[in-house]
Formats: sequence, structure tokens, C-alpha cells
Amino acid sequence: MKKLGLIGNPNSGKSALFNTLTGSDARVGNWPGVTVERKEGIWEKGAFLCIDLPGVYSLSPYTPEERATAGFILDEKPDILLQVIDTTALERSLFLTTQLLELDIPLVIGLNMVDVAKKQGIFVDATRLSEILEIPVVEISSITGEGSGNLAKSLHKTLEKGRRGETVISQDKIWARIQPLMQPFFQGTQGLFCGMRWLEQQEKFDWEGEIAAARYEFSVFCCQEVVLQRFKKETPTEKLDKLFLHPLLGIPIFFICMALIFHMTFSLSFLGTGIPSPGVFFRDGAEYGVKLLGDVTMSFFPQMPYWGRIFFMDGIFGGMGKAISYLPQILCLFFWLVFLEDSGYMARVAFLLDRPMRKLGISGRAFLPLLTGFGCSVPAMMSVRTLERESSRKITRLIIPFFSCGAKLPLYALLVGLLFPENGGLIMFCLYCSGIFIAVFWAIFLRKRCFSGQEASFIMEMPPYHLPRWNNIMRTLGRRGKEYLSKAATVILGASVIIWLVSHITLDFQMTNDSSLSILAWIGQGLTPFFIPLGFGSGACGWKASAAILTGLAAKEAVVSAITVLGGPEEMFTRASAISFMVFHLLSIPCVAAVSAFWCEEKKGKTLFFALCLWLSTAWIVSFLVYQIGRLIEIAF
Amino acid sequence: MMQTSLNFLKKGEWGRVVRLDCDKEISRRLLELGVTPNTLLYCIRWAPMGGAVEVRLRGFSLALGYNEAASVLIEKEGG
Repeated sequence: MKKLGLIGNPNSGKSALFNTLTGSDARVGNWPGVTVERKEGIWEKGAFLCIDLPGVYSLSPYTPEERATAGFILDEKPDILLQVIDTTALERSLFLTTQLLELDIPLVIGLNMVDVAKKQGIFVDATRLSEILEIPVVEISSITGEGSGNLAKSLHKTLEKGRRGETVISQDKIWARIQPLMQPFFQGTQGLFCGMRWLEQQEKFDWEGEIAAARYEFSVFCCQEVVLQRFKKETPTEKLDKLFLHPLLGIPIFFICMALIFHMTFSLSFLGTGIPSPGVFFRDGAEYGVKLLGDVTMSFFPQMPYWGRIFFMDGIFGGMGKAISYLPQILCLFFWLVFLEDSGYMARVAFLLDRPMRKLGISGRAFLPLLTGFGCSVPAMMSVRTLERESSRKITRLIIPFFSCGAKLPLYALLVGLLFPENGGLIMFCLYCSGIFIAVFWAIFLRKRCFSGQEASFIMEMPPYHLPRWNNIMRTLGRRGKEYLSKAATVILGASVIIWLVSHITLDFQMTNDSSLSILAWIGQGLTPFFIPLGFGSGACGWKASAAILTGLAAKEAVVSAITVLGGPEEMFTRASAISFMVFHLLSIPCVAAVSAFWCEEKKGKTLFFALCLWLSTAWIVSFLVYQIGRLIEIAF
Repeated sequence: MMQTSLNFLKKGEWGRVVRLDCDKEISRRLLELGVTPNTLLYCIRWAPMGGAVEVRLRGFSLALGYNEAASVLIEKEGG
């Protein structure tokens, strides 16, 4: 099996091509830097092992993605490389090509998005380009897979020939000066490539700028030869941007979009009609389904003993089933977020919000990682890698948990639906906003105190809009759903069973129906002093809330399971303490998976300790304030 | 012709890059994206309240923050 490396600029469609060729479901989106880790898949009945690499503009070893990609080429020695090029940005893409041509690895170019280019009046002469570069150039469509037959043929043919690296700047005047300097490298493997890289890293003389200029000169020459621009008309992207990036309307439009999305997901009265919004509708359906499933299952086992019946009904269908029934609502929220990301709108939001975000010491580019945090903190922590500055990366990772992830949502839905049925959407929106507010506060504080000096930077390609592809959205939602369900079947099921057992077994190992005598009550009781000032630690049921919040460390969904197993939220909370509980749940230490993702990225015990303290203390202090204020309001009215 | 920096380029104006005046980390990014000396830039728009700027070059659109734009020295081109 031959190793085939897929390489190209960010957002050129590598991952989409990878998915089409190998039938995988790697995450794709219309945002530069979606792929942060390489993925592997088999293509052509085992002839090729495809490796999808993070997108890069060059192979210089500076940002983590570039290092990963260059490292892959040098260490793992792929047999052949396929550069995927966005035809509408040929000139920029050829810069990377000039570097790839210096490698002793066969190279094939796949021209992607030819149809989009044609619509813009751009025609690229693939035959002529192939003549100039002396390597095969194949037109492909990463979405439909058109041209993949030709691609496979060219790859096989090119593989046979092999390649010795050559540089396109050998005609340039700079070559006479740099060639002697690189002599020592020419003996080694990948000599030309390594020599160039070494030169570009020299601090004494700015070879880097001169070499880059020479490379772009070649790229301009190629484009003059092969690109035929028929007409210049206003593209749909330009028209849409006039509206979405309007100096006055741009930001309000964004907030209206977000408010609408929340309304469609959480409101009990859709657009004021009294009909539940789609999100609530689907959740109610799922809840009913789970309950029905429980009843039907039980009816098959009429002989089941009393304890077994309670265990299945409360422990499994009550605990795990409750968590599962929120899945449709979470997917509704993600549907719109993925929709906006895939269309290219999110890149515009980053552009709009760069200035306010820069005040926080992070750049507009941090917007997508933070938004991903609304889905799940784990991929969010990982995608922070694409940011330019170390200080930006650290601040962003520290504040990601304040962006309420999808797993925290079931608890809000449960408590808000029960205690605030009239204005559920509003409370939910406020919760999410307060998370963002806290994140903003910490970002400013950390920038002032800990990471002063380095300015955040914002350099980002603006991708053209395209209609979101149904398949792509569904694939992303499917993957999310699968992850959620598999978590439900493992961690949450486990947590539900354990919670049920420890809440029905007494300290001297007797079964009991009175959970206040159970082991869990004993543990929860120990924690209550910590939570009494927050409102939900006091009273006869205080230990229940305390124990429930503890289970959130395993998985945030498990909190809902725990509350349900322990007898439902009605007796545990007043309105004020419910809000305080939700705020604590929102801000405190994220689940084990997110903490370990943080650890994998930062790798410093001190930073991790600092992060844990920051999260826990923030949660405690804010909940305390929220509860005390809420109680005053409750007394007043 | 007057030398200025990209953050003085107004919407609808053209500029030609003279040189980059910033630290290596940023200049590398700009160079590999094609902001090399002599490149022609067209200013598409500024974000509200003068935050980031969107320029067109080499057939694609690039968004730059205010500080990054300030580090790109240009000459304004007529027309």
C-alpha cells in the first residue's frame, strides 16, 4: 500500500476530498483551519493509504500545523503527495507548490472547485499548467468525486517515475547567491528542501522575504500563462458581504441570527404562537419515546422482582434515558451552528468581531474555537492550535469551559422547563450570555495581569460563501449524535447505575428506599457545607444537589441522570437556588475529557492547577452572588 | 508617490506593497499569503468601528487586523 499525503492551503477542500475518496466522516467546514489533526483512510481498494493533513500556506516550520505537516513529510516519507488547489485562489496556492516541487517526492496537483471558478469567469488551462510545472494536473471535484478515476491513473503513473526535487527559482537572480550556501545539504536526503528551509530560518539576512518574493513571481508568471479571466462580475459573495458586513447592520444581523437560533431551539412558544419551537418539540417527542420504551420493556417482564423493576425504571430509563432524550434538542442547536459555519458566515463574524475580541487579548480568529466550545470543549481545546500567538492560545483555552457545552444543556432544559416555563428561551439565553461575560472578564484580566506585551494578531483568508451541503451537515450531526449516544451508553449509563446503587444502599450495605440513609447521602452531606452559601446545599435535599454536581465531573449530562434518579428536581430547588445551581454547573471544572484535552495541549502541571482553581473559584463566587441576589428578589416579591 | 501604511487605505482604494514592518512571526504569515513587495492590494472594506480590513490580492480576499494592517507599508496607486 502506498502512502498518499493530501496537502494544500487551508479551506481548499482536502478533507472533503478525503471523505469522498475514503468514505470517512472527517470534520469539514468553510473556515480556514478546520483540520487540526491528520486522518488516515484507505482508497482505491487498498492501493493507497490516504493521509489528510492540516492545511498550510507554506512548509516553514513555525505554527503547529505547519510543523506537523512538514514533520510528516520528512519523518514518514509519503510515497506521493497530492496538492489540492482551490482554483479560485490559484496564485496563492502555487506558492506552496513551489515548495513541494523541491521535495524528492512525486507530486500531483488536483484542481478543485473548477466549477466555482468558472462561474466567476475564471478558466484554468490545466494542460498548460502541467507543462510548466512538469507534473500531472488533474481536475477533480472534492464533493462529487468527479475526476477521481483520472486522479488515480495519474497517481499510479507518477509513482512509477519517482522524482528528484527541483526549484522553480533557479532562473531568478537570487539563485546564484543562495546555491553555494546550500551545497552542504545537497548530499543528504531531501537536500534541496532542507537547504531552503535552513536558509529561510537564517536571522542574519532576510533570505526569507527574498525567496518568498521569487516564489510568488513564478506563481504570477504561471497564472499569466494558464488563467483566462473572461469577465469580471460581482460574485454572490460580494453581494452577500455588502449586507452581512454592512458597517451598521453587520453586527446587529449577527446577534439577531444568534437570538433566533436560541429561540428556535429552546422556546416553548415559537414566535409567540404558543406552539413549541422545533427544538422543544423534538425533545418532548424523544422524552415520550424513551418513557414508552421503558414501559414496553417492563411489560415484557411482569415477573421481575420489586428491586429489579425500580432499578430499571429509575436507574436506567430514568437516568440514562433522561440524558438521551435531550439529544434531539442539542442536534437542533448544532444544525444551525454547522449551517452557518459551512456557509462561510462564521469567517465574516470573526472579521466583524476582531476589534472587540482584540480588546480581550484574543483575535477574531479565536471565534470559531470558542464557538466550537458551545458544542464540546474537547475539539475546541484542540482547534485553538491554529491561533498565531502562544498567549492567545493559553487565554482561549482557559476561557473555553465558560462557553456552555452541549452536555451542560440538558440540565438547563430540565430546570428551566420546570421552574420558568413562561420565559425559558430568555433564561437560557441569559445563561449562555453570562458564560460569555465571565469569559470576557477573565480574558481581560489574564491579558492585563499574566500575558501583557504580546498583541493578538488577526490574519485570515475570507472564504467565499457557498450553499451549505446537506450531506456535510448531516454527517457532522450524525457524528455528534453517535458520540453523545456512545457516551450515554458508557459513562452516563455507568454513572446512572452507580448513582442508583449508592443512593439505594445504606452504609451497612442494606437495600433501602429512603435515599437519605444511603451512602450517597453520606457523601453528599460531606459536601454540603461548601454549597450551602450557594443555596442548593441546604435543606433536607441539599445533599442530593451536592452529589449531583459531583457526577458532572464524569460527564455533564450525568447531572441530569443523577437528579432524576434521586427523585427529580421539584423538591431540590427554589427558583433562586436552581439558577445558582445552573450557574455553578456552567462555570465549574469541565468534565474529565475536557480537562485531559487541556492537559494534552498545555502539558504543564502548574498551568493545569491554575486552570482548575480558576474554574472552580469562578463558579463558586458567581453562584454565590447570583443566589444571594436571587434570594433578595424572591423575598421582595 | 506617498508612502503610507495599509491602515490608511480607504475603501475602494488601491495600494502597492513596499515592505513589511513587523516581527518575524507575523511577516512570515503575510509573506506566505502573498503579501510580498510589489503586490497590488485593493481595499474592499473596513469592519465596523475601524477594526479589521478586508483586502483583495492575488485573486482572493484577506482579512487583517488593525495592527497587522499598520505593519504593511504601501504606496497608494491612483485609479
